[in-house]
Amino acid sequence: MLRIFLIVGLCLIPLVGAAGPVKLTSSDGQVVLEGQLLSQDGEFFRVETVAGPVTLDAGRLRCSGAGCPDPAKLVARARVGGAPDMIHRLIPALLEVFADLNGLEYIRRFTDDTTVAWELREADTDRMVAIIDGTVAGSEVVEQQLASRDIDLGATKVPANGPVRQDVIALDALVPSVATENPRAMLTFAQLEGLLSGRLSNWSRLGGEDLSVELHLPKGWDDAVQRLNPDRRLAKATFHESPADLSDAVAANPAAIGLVPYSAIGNTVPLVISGACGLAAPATRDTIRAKDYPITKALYLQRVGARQPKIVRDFIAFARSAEAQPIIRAAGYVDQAIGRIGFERQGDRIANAVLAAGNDTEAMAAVQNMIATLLEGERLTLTFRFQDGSSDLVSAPDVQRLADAIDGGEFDGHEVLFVGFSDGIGPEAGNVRLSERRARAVRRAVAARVQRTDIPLRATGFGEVMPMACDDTPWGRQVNRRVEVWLRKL
Amino acid sequence: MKFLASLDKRRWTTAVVTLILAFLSGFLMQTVLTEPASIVAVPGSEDVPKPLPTSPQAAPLPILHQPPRYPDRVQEQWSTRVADCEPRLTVSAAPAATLRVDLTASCSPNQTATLRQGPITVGVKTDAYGRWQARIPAFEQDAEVEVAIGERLLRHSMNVPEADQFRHVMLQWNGPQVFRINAYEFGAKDQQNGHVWSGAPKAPERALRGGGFLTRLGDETGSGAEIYSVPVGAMPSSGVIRLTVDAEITETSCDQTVEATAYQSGPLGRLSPSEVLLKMPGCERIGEHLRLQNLFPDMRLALH
Repeated sequence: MLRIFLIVGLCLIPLVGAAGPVKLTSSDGQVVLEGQLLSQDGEFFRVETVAGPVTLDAGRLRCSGAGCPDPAKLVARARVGGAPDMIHRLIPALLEVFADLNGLEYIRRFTDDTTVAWELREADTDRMVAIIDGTVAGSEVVEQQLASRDIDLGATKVPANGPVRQDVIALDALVPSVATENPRAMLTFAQLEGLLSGRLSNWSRLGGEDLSVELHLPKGWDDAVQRLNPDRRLAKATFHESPADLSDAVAANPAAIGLVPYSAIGNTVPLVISGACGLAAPATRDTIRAKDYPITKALYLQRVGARQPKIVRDFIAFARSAEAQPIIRAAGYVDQAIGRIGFERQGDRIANAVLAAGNDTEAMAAVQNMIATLLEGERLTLTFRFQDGSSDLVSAPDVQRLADAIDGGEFDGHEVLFVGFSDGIGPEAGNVRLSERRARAVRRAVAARVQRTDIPLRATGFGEVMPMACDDTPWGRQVNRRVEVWLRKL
Repeated sequence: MKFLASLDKRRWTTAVVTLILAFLSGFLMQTVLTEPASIVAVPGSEDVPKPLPTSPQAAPLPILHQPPRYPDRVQEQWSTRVADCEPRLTVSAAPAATLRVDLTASCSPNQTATLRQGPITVGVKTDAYGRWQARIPAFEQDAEVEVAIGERLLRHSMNVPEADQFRHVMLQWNGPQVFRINAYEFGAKDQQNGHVWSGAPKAPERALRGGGFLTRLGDETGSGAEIYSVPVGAMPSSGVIRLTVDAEITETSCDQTVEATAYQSGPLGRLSPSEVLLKMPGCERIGEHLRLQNLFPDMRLALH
C-alpha cells in the first residue's frame, strides 16, 4: 500500500529543526506510517521508521503528533555567499524574475552593504515560501563556508576545487581600458605587455603625451593578468578589490591604464588588442561568448552535494535556462545564449584568410573551398577550443548546451557543421588533419548527447586558413585552435 | 560602445546635436501646447469625478514653466473670497516628464496632506494659506496623482507620454530625514557638476542635456522621499551613474535602527522594492554618516 509514496535515496536538508514522533496518514486514510521525523522541506517528509529512513511526498499526507512541523513555519531557508556584484546585481535580478515566473512576490531586505535577504511569498495568500540570506564574501571564504555547510550556495568567479558542483551562469572578460581623455583606441599585444611589465612606463613611448603610465588591476584575476603578461614581472600597480572602484580610478585619470572586467567597464573606454600580424580582438558580447576574445572568466553558482532545498535547485536550473539569459545580459554580464553570426559579418576574417593565402595557389584553393562551404551558413557563438597539439575536448558543459539546443528544436531545418581550424605552427597538411580530428571529436561528443536523429551533424577541417588572432603569442595561438559550429539550411 | 564612440566622434557629435534639437523642439511644443489641467475633486472615497463649480475664483491657474507667484495682496483677496472651503488639486504636465502639482485648501492651512503617485506615498504640509505645490516626476505614462487632506480625497490623472523615457530610483521613509541619495553621473566626483544630491538637486530641464535631477518631498519630521530621475530614451550621454545613499548619524537616528523603502528599476520593467533596515552607529558619531554603496545598483545607460 505504500506504493506511491516511497522515494529511495533522497537526501534532504532539514529546513525545520524537526525531531520527534509523528504519525503520517494519507488523504484516503489507507496508509499510516509512524516514526521519528528527520526533516521536512515543504516537499518531502523524511521519517526514521523501524524499517529504516523513509522519504514521503508531503503533499499527500496529514501529519499528527508532537514532531509535526508548524505549517506556518514551513519556509525554505537558504544562504548564499559570494562576490559583491553577484550578490547585489546578478542574483537579485534573477531571483526577481524567478519569483514572478513562479507566481511569487519578491522583496529584498537590505541590512548593510554586505548583508541582504530575499523573501519570496505566495502572491495570493501572502504565505512566506522562502527566505534566502545573502552575504558578500571573498572566494576563499565562500569555499570554506561551502565546505563547512555555513552557506548552501556560493556565487563566485573562481572555479572551486574539491567535491563542489558548479554551474556557469554568466561570462565576464578582462579588457584593457583607459579614460575618455586618453586618445588611444588600440594596443598591440606587445604594447600591452610593455605597459603591464613596466617596459613602457610613459605614454610618450606610444606616441601619446608625456605622462607616466599608472597601472590599475583587479584583485582575484591573477591568472588572466598573467596570460596578458606572460613574463610574470608586473609594473607597480594599484590593485582594487571592487571592480567599480577600479573602473572609476581609470576613468578619472588620463594617465591610467586598467585591466577592467567587461561587466564593470563603466565610464572607461575599452581598447582593442591587436597582434603584430594585424588581427584585432575587440571584447564584445559575441566575441566573449564565442571565446574569440581570450581573456574570459566564468561566474559560477557552487553547491556541495545534493542537500539544497527544492527552491534552490529550481533557482539554479532557472539561472541556466534560456529565459534567464536576457536578464544576465541586462545586468551587464555576458550571457550564454547561443547566438548566430551571419556569413556577411565575417568579412574581416575572410579578408584576412585571403591576404594570408597570398600567391600560394594551394592555399588560395583551400580558402575558396572554405568560403564555398560556409557561404550560406551562420556561425554559432559557441566555439570549442583546444590545448596545444591536442584534440582533447575542454568544455563538457558547452557540449551539453549545444546538445540541449539541438534537441530543443533551435536548429530545426538545418544541418550542424563542426568546422575545425588550427594555429599556423607546423606543416600545413598536419594542421588540416589536426583540425579535422578536432572537429570529429567535437561532433562525436555532441552526437553522444543528442537524442534526435533528424538533425545531421557533420565535421570538416580547414587547418590554418582563417586565423582569428596572431600566432606570435600563446593566447593568439589558443584562439586559433578551435572548432567552430556552423548551421547550414537543409 | 565606448571604443566605437572614440573611433567615430564626428558621427556621435552629429547624433548628439540631432538629439538635443529633437528634445528642444519637444520642449517648445510642450511649452506652447500644454493646457492647464481641469480640476477634479472626488468626495470621500467615491471614484466618480465630479466637476467643481466653475466660479471665477476656481478657474484653473495658467501653468507657466516657472513656479506660479502669488503676490501677497492678491492671495489675501483670493483666500478671503473663497468661501466654500473646497480643496482643489491642479495637475499639469511639465517638461522632463514631470507633473506640476498644486494643492489649494484654504480652510486647511499648516496641515499635513498625503500625496500619492506611482510608488510615492508621502506626507506634505500646506502653508499658512493652505497651499502646497511641487514638481514631481511622473512614474507612469498614465500618471495618477492623489492627495488626501482631512476627509477629502482629490485625484487627478494626466497622460505623460515621455514618462517611459525616464528611469528613477526612490527612497522613502517615515520620520525625520536621515537618508540622502547621491548620483554621480558619468564619472563625476563629489561636488562636481554631475554630482546630483539634495545639496545640488538640479532642475528637471537638465534632462534635455542628458542629466538627471533630484526631487525631495515631505517635511523634515514627518515622512519624506527622495527621487532621482534621469532620461534614458533620447540619451546624449552613455556610461554609468553610480548611486550611493548616505545615512546621517543624528541625535534622533544614532544608535537606532532606521527604516526606509527603496525602489529601483527592476528586471521586470517595473519598480522593484527593497526594505531597508539599517542599524545606525552609536551617538558618539553624531555628525558623521554611513555611506551605502550597494543599496542601489549602478545605472548603466547606453546609446541606442
